[in-house]
Amino acid sequence: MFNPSELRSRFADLSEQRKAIVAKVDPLHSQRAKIRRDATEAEAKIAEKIKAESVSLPTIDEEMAMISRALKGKTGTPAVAPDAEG
Amino acid sequence: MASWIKLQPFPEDLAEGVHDLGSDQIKVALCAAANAPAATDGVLADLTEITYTNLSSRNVTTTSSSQSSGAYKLVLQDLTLTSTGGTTGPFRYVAIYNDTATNDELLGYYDYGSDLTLNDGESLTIDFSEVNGALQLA
Repeated sequence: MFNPSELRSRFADLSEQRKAIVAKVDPLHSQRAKIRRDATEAEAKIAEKIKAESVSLPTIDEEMAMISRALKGKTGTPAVAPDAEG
Repeated sequence: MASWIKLQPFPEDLAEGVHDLGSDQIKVALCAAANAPAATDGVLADLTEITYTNLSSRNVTTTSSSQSSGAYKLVLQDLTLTSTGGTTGPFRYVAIYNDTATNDELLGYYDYGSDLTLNDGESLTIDFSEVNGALQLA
């Protein structure tokens, strides 16, 4: 049967259980957030280096794609220029 | 143009922070017709790849990763794959995966419809639409 008093007691009990769990996991969440922040900072530094070193890649890719299409995929190996031979 | 097929685990990976598509290294993996990717494949190890001995780098250059009015678009530079010193393939599927992510998580793949083989000195340019991007999220 519906017993408001028992339900209130159960509710209070659950609230205490919840509070205890949250008290345990809160410091772990903070610890995890710090690890993530540190990792993100370290990663960002490397990402910047990668970005700086890769700045000409889009232009190179674009030109290679254009040449490959023009040659219909027969990119082969470059012929040796006559004046470069022996 | 080959059709793009998104793999099922990809949206969850996105939602759970597996990918940073703005700076992670995107790479392609090639599979033969006999080894089609399954819709549930999530990581590179789920695929059966061809041998890449004669193939050029499979690294894809990311052009942009941005949103406009809430619609996200990943634009990749067209990638020219070249076979040198022998053949590469046959392959039909070109899968896209995140080489920086912990388990080389997959995004999706392109189906070229039938097996292709690159002979020595031949190239294939993978056309990642500049207008529509390699993928969009609305």
